[in-house]
Amino acid sequence: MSNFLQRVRHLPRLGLGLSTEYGAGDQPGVLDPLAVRAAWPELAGLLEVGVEVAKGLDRHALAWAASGAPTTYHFLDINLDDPEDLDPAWLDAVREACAALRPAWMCGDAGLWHFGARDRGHMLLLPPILVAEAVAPMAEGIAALREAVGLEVLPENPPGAAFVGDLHLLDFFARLCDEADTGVLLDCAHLAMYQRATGRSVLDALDGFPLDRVVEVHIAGGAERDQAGLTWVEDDHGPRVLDDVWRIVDHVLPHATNLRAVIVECERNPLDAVLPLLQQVAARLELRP
Amino acid sequence: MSRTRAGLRRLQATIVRLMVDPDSVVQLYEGRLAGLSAEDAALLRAVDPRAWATDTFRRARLLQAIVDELPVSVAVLGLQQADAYLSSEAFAQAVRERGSMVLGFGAWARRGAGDVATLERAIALARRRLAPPGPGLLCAPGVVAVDVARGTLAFVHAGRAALEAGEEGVTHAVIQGARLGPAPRGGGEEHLLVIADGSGATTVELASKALVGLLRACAAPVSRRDAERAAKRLGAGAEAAEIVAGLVEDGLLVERPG
Repeated sequence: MSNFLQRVRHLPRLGLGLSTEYGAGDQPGVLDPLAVRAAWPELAGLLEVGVEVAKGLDRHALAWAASGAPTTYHFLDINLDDPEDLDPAWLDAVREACAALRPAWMCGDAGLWHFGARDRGHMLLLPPILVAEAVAPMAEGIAALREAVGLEVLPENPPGAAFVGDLHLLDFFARLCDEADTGVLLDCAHLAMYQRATGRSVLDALDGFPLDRVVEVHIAGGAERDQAGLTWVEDDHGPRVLDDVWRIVDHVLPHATNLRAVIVECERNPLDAVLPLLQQVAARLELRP
Repeated sequence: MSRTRAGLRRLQATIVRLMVDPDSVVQLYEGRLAGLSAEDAALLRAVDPRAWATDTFRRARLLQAIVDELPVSVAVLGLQQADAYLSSEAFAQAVRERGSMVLGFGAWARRGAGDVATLERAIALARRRLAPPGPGLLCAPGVVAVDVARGTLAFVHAGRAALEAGEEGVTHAVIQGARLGPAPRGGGEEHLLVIADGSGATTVELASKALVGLLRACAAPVSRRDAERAAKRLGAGAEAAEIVAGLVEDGLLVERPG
């Protein structure tokens, strides 16, 4: 069987795209991905669909898929390090969603999507514990899911304000890429949160990270918040991208030689609020070597 | 230090607890949080203590999820008392052992809300349509049988109706502090059959003591012979096998091959 750097050559180049999740498109005034694609095809090359199998796919995701336009499947309900989460009923539902969406690959935050069993009210999203021993269980889950669905599974660095562990987040994901023989979805906004929360400089450890493993990049707005004097960043997917995020984007894009997609996460905003952001990102992609 | 997978799971559960329970954060930084190795405690204490509390609505969301499913129990207990569950060992255990927060609350709440919590937990359990693993005869997914204090079903029905009377709905009424009670206690039993269909809709009906007893005996998989023995203990006599077969035919029991 070929290794990831061989397999990645077969992944399609999808360009710049948008994100959605169940119900996001039903909010009044929010952008309609199909309408964006019709007007500016270069800004909506793909739709990344956030899927919680308990909710299924909404009419907007189904309409996009029916149009034949490319998608990726972003899971919202699997703790990759927990083998019990890969239960047959969940996998059947994932396969059903994949049959409808025909995604180019799967991706999603490699963290704790829910505590306890998968159950009502249990959803949350926490980063992985950044210690060496946590790499192997996560890698096994990625490989098992890849095998079960027949798609590449790209782990994403999750958001957070509290990061536990003695490994740098990028070192953890570099080890994960190696052990799971996979690529990665680098969320630049989440990485900026990590660097700030742990008192590091914005580009810390990026020099040592294998950027040829980056298949997909996320860019999203964030909001600075205060908790008893602690400034932290909320991952609000708004239109205002923090300067730290742009610095990471500008470092990563020229070096990500296997990049296949860039997603601007902005699913709950009106088009006029995010159009300038989409155009900014498109311009940066045009400048890539 | 080398951590086992079980050790990582425990550490993860502690992180969830720190996100939910401010008292445990204080205990961590004062060195009083039980069940942690020195190395894990040091890893956790390396985090700014304020960072555990950045999601100020997390605990309220969890409590709301509980109220959504066990509103009458929470109204009997009182919201503040119900909130204490999220700081309890019962909640910590549900997180640690892949349990259900809501079902864990239902069991925890029995002390204060009596069989009102037993019944609402049974409804929540039926809605989940869980199927315990293993071969044998067992209740069909969505079928739960319970014995509760006489008057419990009427109390829960009336309680829900009272909470629904407000314009904002049941959950809102409870979160605004609506109280009910006291819950029925003593005075004999009633035997209830809870059935949830695939859409999540549930019905609760009175049933015979024998039927509920037999279904309870099959809450986890048993052999057909053991099910028939249970039927005999409950007074079935020579027709025990026929009764068990009838319950399978009616869809209340299912038989899973070995």
